[in-house]
Amino acid sequence: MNVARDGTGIEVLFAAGTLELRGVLPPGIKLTPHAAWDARSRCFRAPALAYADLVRFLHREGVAFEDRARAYVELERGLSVSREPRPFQSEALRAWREAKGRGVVVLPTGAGKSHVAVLAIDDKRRSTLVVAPTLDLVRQWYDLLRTSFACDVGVVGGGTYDVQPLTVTTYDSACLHMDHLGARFGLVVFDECHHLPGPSYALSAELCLAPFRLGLSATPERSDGQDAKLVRLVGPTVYRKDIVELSGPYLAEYETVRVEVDLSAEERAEYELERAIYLDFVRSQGIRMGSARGWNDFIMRAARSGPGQRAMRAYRRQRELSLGAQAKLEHLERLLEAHRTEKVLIFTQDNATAYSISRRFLVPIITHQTKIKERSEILERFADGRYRAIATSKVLNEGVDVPDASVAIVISGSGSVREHVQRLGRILRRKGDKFATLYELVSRKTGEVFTSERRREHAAYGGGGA
Amino acid sequence: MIGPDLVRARKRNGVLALAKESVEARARARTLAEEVLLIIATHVDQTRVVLEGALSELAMAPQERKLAMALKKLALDDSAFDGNPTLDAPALRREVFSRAVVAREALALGARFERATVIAEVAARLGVTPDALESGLYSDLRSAQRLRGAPIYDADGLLARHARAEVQAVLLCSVRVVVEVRCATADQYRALFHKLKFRQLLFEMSSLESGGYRIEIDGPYSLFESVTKYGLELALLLPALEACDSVKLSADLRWGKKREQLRFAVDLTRAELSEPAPARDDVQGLLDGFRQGAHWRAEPAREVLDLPGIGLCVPDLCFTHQVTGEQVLCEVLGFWNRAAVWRRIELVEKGLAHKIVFVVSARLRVSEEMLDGAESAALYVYKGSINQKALERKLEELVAPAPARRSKCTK
Repeated sequence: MNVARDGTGIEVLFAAGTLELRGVLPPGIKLTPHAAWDARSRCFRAPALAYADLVRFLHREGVAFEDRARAYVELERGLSVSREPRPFQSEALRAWREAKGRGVVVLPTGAGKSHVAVLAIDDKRRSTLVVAPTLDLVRQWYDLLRTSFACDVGVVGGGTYDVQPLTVTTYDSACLHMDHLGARFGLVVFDECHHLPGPSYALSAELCLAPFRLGLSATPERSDGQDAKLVRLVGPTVYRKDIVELSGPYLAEYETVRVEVDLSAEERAEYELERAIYLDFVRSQGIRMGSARGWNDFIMRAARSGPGQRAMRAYRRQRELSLGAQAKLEHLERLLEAHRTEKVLIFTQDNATAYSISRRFLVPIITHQTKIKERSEILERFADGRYRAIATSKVLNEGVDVPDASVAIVISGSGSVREHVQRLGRILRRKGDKFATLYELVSRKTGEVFTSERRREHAAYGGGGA
Repeated sequence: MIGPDLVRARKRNGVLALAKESVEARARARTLAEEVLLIIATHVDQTRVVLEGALSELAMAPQERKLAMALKKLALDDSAFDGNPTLDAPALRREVFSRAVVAREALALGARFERATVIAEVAARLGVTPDALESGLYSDLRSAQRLRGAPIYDADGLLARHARAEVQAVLLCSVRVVVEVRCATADQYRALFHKLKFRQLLFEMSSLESGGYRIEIDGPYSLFESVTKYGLELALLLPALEACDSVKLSADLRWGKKREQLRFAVDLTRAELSEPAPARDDVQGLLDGFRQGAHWRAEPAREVLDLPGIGLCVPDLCFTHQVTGEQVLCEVLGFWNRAAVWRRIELVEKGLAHKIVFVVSARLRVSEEMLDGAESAALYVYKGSINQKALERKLEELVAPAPARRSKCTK
């Protein structure tokens, strides 16, 4: 341990996602508020997130200390492939550097957010952990880092545990392993960082001591307002460009087409019957479905009685009928034939519908059940044209790079603006003079019309939201 | 394990309590458990989706929904499933989807995609029937797995499993747990503290007047924020707690989607205490050997020696001098690993206040000199078997007046 002439000095250790400080402090120096006394282990303790501030404090106060917490290394080499960044990518990197290497970059899907991260890794040259929401994205980052830095890249997640100075992981695995991995990275990149402020995912940022942090997102805002936490966990938004600002020069031109279809006579009859059962129950219980508590009230009361359980079944059935209307599948058939020489992504709200589409139209499917090997093969065959369409529910919503896809067909989805914008983003990556089209199939005169209106409230759809 | 959403509990005045069952409700729960197990037993070799379909038909009253779902979940978790190994489903899909692309691209103007033709062509090429191809196409999905073995317990076994699972599910939402625990043997305490350490949990401990200990358990990060991050670790601690003789557990919870702050308490004391586990052979040998001893009397120790931030040890025996009444504790480390010995030496060096002898086999290659001169502790290293006389000499040395002892403590 480093000891000053007066015999004072402390050790800083990384312990299960926290920092332990042990030793003798010089007179007059107080570690609070940077750290708190922990009687359980007779030492001062701080969250790992506070590492950079704490070390700066110790330096500033002239406290002799031995840093046994930091376990990250400098990368032996930087980028092996030099690619000229687009002007907005350079601006984003500059803004991030000026913010002391902590902050969020907001760029639309397809604009090349991951290249900003590659530039940041090259700039800092510290062991880096990239955290992504899905295994597909992990695979994509793995390929990108391996080709960009010509070195081994580690993967943690999906049954693999291989930690290297450049490592990629999922948010779930980061939560599980940050207790013991949190000292091994100087830079952490949170891809699709709007996931981070959730109560468990946030801990993966808290338990990690990385002094440099970069968040990437096209849509950082969250309906629960928790995006404000990103400032503490990653840093402030340091750069932002929207779809409308980059459409044309950097993103493909596009159109969105809403197709309204009719339920068949049998579907309509059953829909009205089931909906009436559901609505009768809601009215009889005085539940206001439009209110913030409406849905929770319904679930709670539905569980308490036989009629309630019947109402819940009725709710599910009428929804199933509107989301999976026969006419949608007939229209899908026409669209697949019309776009048979293009690359098409088919999105559904649930896995069962995605599997039924795959089975009926004999198109490959990717869901959370698809194993990595088959997933990679499907994406590879899609990229080289051996497959022309992929059906999926939600796993391709985010980030996965399917550059040639020019048609998205939304069979069904939630009311989430983010999900809808992300689905559009999947077909916007610019390639030649590609023109992209997103079809949204909606069952006329059903609750789905309202869901569709909610999710289109974004500038990308000509709606009011950001 | 089950999720907190399947726990039958009531909230009142900031306290979460597991629902109490009436005699009728208990009988009904037993019937449900029997029915769940019967359905599973009669579906061996069926697919998971068929089995789950049959289980969903289980008749129940609305208030039994959570119980029934939890019983189904636990019984399914304890059933054995496997996939359909006869067909390579991903390879079948590759063939079929590739052929479908070609067929779709070759469509003449106005012609329709003929699914059946694609299936028939691929089936013919692979030498299987179209039906076999259809059934094999997604046979690797979870829903297509086949049941190979039902759980090995009966209805009472399933209900016991459910009782534990409900407490564990509550603990998943806990941010801190306090237990008042009493064990008959040192080995029980050791197992509990070993589990705490293994789960990387931190604790503060204090003695109870009635005997036993009060232990507050949470994780390192809990110092800054009440998080449920350690909930799984705390839930997994439950079997170790249940192995103790008496446990009163209370927990601070963040319950439900709104993470409501609630308290939870449960008494895990066994209604019928099992016979105390016999002491290990080496410890029992000392108890028997000192029964006829003239100077020292031995009895099982009841203390856990804790030095916060450094570690703890759990002595096996407490020796009392027949004349002076002085007491010396003894931990028999036997053939454990050397690291355990170093940890004990560190405890002594960092201020362990009790008089104690650590009994260690020579096979661990440590020297008695390691604790030579320590005021309150000694190492007794034995070859072969523990020699009662030699141990007695160590005990005598520790109670001898200080000048007779060396003062340096070296490692």
